[in-house]
Amino acid sequence: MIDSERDRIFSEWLAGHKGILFKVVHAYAFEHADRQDLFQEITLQVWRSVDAFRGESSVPTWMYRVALNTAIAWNRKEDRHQRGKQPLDVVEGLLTSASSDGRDPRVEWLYRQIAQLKDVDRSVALLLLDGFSYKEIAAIVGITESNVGVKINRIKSALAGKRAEEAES
Amino acid sequence: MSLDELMQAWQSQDAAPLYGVNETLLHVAVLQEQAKVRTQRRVEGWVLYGVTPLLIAGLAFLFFIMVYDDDPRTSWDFALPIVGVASWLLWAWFLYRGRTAQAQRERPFGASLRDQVARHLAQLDYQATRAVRLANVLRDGVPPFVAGIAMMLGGWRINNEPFSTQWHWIVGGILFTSAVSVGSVWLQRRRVKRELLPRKRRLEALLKELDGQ
Repeated sequence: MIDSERDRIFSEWLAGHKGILFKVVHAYAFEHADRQDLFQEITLQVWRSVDAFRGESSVPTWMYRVALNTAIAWNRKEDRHQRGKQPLDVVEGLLTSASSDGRDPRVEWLYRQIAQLKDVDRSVALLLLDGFSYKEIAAIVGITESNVGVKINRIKSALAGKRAEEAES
Repeated sequence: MSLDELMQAWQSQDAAPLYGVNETLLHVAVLQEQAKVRTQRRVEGWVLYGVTPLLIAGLAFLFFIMVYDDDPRTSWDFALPIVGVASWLLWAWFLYRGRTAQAQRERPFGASLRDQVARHLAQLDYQATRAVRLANVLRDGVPPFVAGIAMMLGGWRINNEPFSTQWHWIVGGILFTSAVSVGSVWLQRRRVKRELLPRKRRLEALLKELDGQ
């Protein structure tokens, strides 16, 4: 595929579904610089993945798959941060903060709960909240539907427990 | 607050996104990535299609000079370029076989997150095995070393210079090639220990998590 065609498809995907990338970035990275780094990493992986897209799944499913895989693999860079080195090639200012006026406070609450989940459960939670079916989640994550069911039950219990705990206090 | 309500709140982000994107900077990042991909392809192409023919052409040139010049030659002289070419081709064959076998190992994995993790693990195993197992280290390191030495000795022989005047180049060249080979093996092993094995452990833990163990 020629670069201009890849760029055109990439721009269309980004214009239509960048919300998916924001959600994954917000769920997997917690510092400003890390979010910039992860967003750049994910967008470049999505750009690279355009060639491999065969239309066997929808574009949002594909983008979720690439974004989640990149976010989980991104931990190797996290290790680099821990060793006190700066991330390479980070384009600072790539991600700009949007106004938080009128944002539902339940969204921030959900992000706080998601941040406490394990890597894989975090992926399942994002997909669940975005309305993906058990079958689709199983296909994206690569586990059985019954395993998805187990993880979703665990996530629901954790959310319900947290709500109850906060209601009491 | 039911799950449906939470989902509704969650999906409200689509109407009011968490962030904006600086399109100009993103374009710059994509251009950088394009340049990186092109450079990578160019280097791989250069090594695959440039170095091998150049090296073979160089050794063939040595061989033909030995055949057609009038100086007295021994069988050992003719053996040098032949051994050099054979070593390099053997190395290229090992590399090709290794890559093909690895591609076959990775083929069963699909595009799901679990399969991506499993594929990444297979790649790490391949890299770690190549750098650590002695047979693999020798297989990857000895043939280019032999080809380099054969070329150097062949060059010395066609010049008809006595060993007494050229020994420092020959010995120095052999020592330098040996040091580069040992150094690159050491660096690869260090990388395996510091980077690949911790990453591998983390991916194995992730795979266990995915499998619900």
